[in-house]
Amino acid sequence: MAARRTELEALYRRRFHVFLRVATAIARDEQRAYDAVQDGFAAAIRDERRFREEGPLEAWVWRIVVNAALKTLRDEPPTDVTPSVNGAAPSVDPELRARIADLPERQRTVLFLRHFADLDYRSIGEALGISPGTVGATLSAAHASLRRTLEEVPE
Amino acid sequence: MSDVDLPVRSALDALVPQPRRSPDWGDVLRRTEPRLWRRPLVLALAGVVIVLGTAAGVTAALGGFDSWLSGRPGKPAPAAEQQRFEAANGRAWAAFPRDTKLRELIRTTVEGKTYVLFGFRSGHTLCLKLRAISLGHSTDPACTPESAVAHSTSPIVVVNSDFGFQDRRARESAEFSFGIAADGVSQVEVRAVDGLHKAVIGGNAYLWVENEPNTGNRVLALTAHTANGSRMTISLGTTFGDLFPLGRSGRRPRGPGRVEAPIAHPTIGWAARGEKRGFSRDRLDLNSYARTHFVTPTARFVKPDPLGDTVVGLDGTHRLFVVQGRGAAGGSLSNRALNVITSGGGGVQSATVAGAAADGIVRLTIFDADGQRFAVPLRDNLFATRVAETQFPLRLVGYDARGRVAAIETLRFDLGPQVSLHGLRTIRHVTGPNGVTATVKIGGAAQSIRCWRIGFSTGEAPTGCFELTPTGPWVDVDLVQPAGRDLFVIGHTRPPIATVELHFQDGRVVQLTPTGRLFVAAIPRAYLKTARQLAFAVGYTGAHRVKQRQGFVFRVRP
Repeated sequence: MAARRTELEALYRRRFHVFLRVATAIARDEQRAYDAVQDGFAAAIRDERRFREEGPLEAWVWRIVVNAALKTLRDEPPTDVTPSVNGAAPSVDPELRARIADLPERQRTVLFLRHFADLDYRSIGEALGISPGTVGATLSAAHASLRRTLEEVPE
Repeated sequence: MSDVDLPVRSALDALVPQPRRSPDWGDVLRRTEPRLWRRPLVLALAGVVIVLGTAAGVTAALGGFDSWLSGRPGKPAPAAEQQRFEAANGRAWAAFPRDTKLRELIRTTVEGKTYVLFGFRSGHTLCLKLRAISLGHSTDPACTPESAVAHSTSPIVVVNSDFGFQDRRARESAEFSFGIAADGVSQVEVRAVDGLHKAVIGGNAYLWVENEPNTGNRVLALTAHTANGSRMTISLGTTFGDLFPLGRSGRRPRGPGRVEAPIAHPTIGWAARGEKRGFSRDRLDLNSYARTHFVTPTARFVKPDPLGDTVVGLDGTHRLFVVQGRGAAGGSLSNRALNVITSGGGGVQSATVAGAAADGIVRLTIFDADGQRFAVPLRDNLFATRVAETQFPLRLVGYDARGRVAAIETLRFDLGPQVSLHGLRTIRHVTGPNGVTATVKIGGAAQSIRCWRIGFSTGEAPTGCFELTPTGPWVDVDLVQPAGRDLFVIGHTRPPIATVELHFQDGRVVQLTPTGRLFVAAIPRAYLKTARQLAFAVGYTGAHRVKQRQGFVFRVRP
């Protein structure tokens, strides 16, 4: 168990900003995302025996953190779809922003996990409790949806 | 490399810029503190061990632990077992010396399943290792420092208080407790949730094993009986659920409290200069995660205690690693004169204290809570030793060449803030088919924690706490509590669970409504059998949608 905790600590230190960025993308608020990451890792420490080593530790932790981030979203829906990162207003096309915000929750989450966390399909699947095939299909659908928006936006 | 389209990548990057917050592992640990000791089966902690009895002079009167401290307990392990042990140790440097001699202490058969307890001594460390031959499982060595045994005031030293093996479906297949016994110990009784058991005594050790325990079964206390008729009870303070509702040990650290000659600019010269001291990562048998993602290939490692199983490494002046067996711990080096990593738990009643000392520190001493002091192996600025959890809090003191105190680190193995069990209110009574009544009491939410106590008319009174946080299982069976001729299931839920059903194998369903997230149910008479049974606690949302199914196993002890 001690070794597992040290692995968790190593994962945390190495990938904190990735976790925080994905959680921010999901929770749409950095403070809530930060709490999701911190509480997620704390929960992983407490529940470390539940990790069965049937997949990567990181995927297991992602599942916890993503659930925590989604929970914040369900508990307190954001009033603005724009993520607030330390008050900085990101510059992005409003239509694309709206399209990303409007993506089904699973598509959004898969997209962020693939893009920011650079997880493979299997790890994303383990993090979300879906098959790698479903990950691929979900990602493809998200891409298609966003690509349509990009194509519709004049240069 | 992500396969997300470039325009989408750009959009996502713009949409969610790099966060600016910094990692804070200390904050993570603080968030675990009130509930760190989840699953006491895994993480029973010696820091709360309460020894009852006339402690003074007990071990002296019994002849103490001489066979462990100066002789050889038990008998030599079979050649095949010794070879297996040597092969495992020979794979890596973060292991005990390959020529460590394994001793067979106890061989016992429990309901047709054979278990063997082995022991060995390496330097100042005494270790036990259980092999479940029939189940095909082994524990890693569980060790205790010689100092803890030499100064023990109890006739038994609990090495692994409560641990278990699980089958492939994560159901308990065996539960066990083992430790070192003084020469005069004639019997060790194990009081568990499911009743009183006798441990096997042999080779100056004790071993208790139970096959197929009920879900949540835990060791509550151990009582050592001696040949001269005295007895001593070690209470483990076992509770259930997510939390450990006991406070800090209250003991004060001993030893020097003032630094006499502080080190102005702590540094480790050889690491700063990039010298390749010690050995590289290649000589470690690291697990894949540690090798791939954690321990950097440029780190250099040293084994401070040649007879220990711990190696300590540095990667330049930035990263500190501690490797034990195949697992690794680590962190960033601070500018303190002593950087310390403490690890422990897992039912094993000792902790490893390891780290790095800055140039100028030539000697390290640990002062424990009992006033004992002992030297810490130090080599090339790196150190490692084992300490019994009962010895915490500790002071790790570094001395300079003139014998002055150059650095002090106080180390604790705390349980987090106290969770009160006061102010519980009765919320319901549950009566079993054989007439045993459970009075269910629950407290209010405090610090996102809720505690409960269930008083049974037969005298049992388990307590537990669970966290009111948004993560974790939706339905969790904490334990199956025998009481008289009845069995009760105790568990808790989290939103959005509105109702819980117990599904038995013959299709019968018992419906429950949690109160304050807690549910308690008596198992119907039809299932009060000595054969092990599997049932499920199924959590439903308010819309009666299944959210989670949690299996639990139970049987009535004959």
